[in-house]
Amino acid sequence: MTVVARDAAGLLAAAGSGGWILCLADGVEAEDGAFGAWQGDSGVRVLAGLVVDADGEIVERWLPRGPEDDPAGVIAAAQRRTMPLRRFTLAHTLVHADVVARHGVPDSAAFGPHAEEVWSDRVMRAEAGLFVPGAIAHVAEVQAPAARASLPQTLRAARADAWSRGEVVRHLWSGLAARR
Amino acid sequence: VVVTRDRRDLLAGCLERLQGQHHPPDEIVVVDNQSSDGTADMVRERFPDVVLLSLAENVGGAGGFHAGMQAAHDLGHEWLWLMDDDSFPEPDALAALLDGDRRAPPGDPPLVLASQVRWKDGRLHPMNPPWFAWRRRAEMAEGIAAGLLLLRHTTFVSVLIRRAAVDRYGLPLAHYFIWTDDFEYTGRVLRENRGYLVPESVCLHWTPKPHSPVTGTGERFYYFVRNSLLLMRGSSLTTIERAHYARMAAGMTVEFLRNNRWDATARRTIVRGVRDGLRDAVR
Repeated sequence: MTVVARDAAGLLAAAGSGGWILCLADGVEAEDGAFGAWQGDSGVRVLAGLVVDADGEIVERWLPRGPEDDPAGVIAAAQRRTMPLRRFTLAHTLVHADVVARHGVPDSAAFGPHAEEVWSDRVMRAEAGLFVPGAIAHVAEVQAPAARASLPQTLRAARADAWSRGEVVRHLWSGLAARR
Repeated sequence: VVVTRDRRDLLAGCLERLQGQHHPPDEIVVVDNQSSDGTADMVRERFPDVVLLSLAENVGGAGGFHAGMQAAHDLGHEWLWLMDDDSFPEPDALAALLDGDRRAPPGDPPLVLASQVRWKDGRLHPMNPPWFAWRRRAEMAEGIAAGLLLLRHTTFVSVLIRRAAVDRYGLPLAHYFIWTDDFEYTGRVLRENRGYLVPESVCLHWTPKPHSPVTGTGERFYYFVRNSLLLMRGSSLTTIERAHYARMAAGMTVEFLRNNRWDATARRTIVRGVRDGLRDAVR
């Protein structure tokens, strides 16, 4: 059985189900059976899919990140039309309840809009996960991010070790530039 | 297009593998960089159908690929398959590359298709790592959905270059002599076009050791230093890529110096490379 969660609270509430939790951002609707046989892949605990807008364009900010430092792993996964996950968003992602039991849920109070990045980075250091671009969800209208991160939230995220040095610089720069 | 110099036996092994492809190439062009070990005679005797281009002087790998691609382009071929004489493509390597073209996502056709390059023991060869276009995230995702990996750069070890790339971007820069010429050329072509690594296509790079430019290269490291500077002064990298490349090249230079215990020859090699890299014309 798969339970649908629309936010961190829903994810936490669904953790007791013991099965797969389909995380979807507001307005996102997944195609039936999008992840298909991948749910039976042994050991895999996170499956991330694509979200496309009304024009059929991929929503880039909801795409997961791959392991840029592991080309051999990326090549092996590509033969199965997948990619190992390094970080993911909860816009269209299947998360096993075990993951929530072991790693909790994204902490929006501490990290603001960076919460999913920080949490998913922690999850993927311990769990196996795949990006399955053949799994597609649709959204009629992509909402802008609800809130901008505060400087303390960005600094906390930077210290959480989820970002590369370049990403830290970029996030701090964009945070400071937005405040001018 | 196979570029060779004084490695007759390796070249023979490479040509046997090319002729044994499940989808054999229409024509094979061997560029002989003034070999003195009987390479040309061996090619004429054992591989009479091969087009042999004997150069009057050794122009390095860069000059060899420049000449070979020009010849293959003049012969009218749609795809140019490039490799060194120590490249041993697996029997379905070319068929897999061409299948990659067939299943590429819709849009402009890919200009570059590359094999994964492995050493004898099966690991990815450190001299030929694939550089994926991670920043082009949506295109990368589309590629993965088709079982292909979007490339930003690749090396001239089992890579297919579409004729249109030569028409639009010319040939590799011959004055690089060795190293970085392939990174520069594919970077130039792929900056605004698509190219993919096709995972099912595998080529073994039969070097004695799984070396990279910083290990066991001696004074030839000069070309890495000089060409890296020429590359950064040229047009194949974006500003951010230049910064990343500079950091990577600096790290490799320090590693080279460490490997050589900071001796005077190694230091002179670097100084010459920096001097010429800053002074020579980018072209």
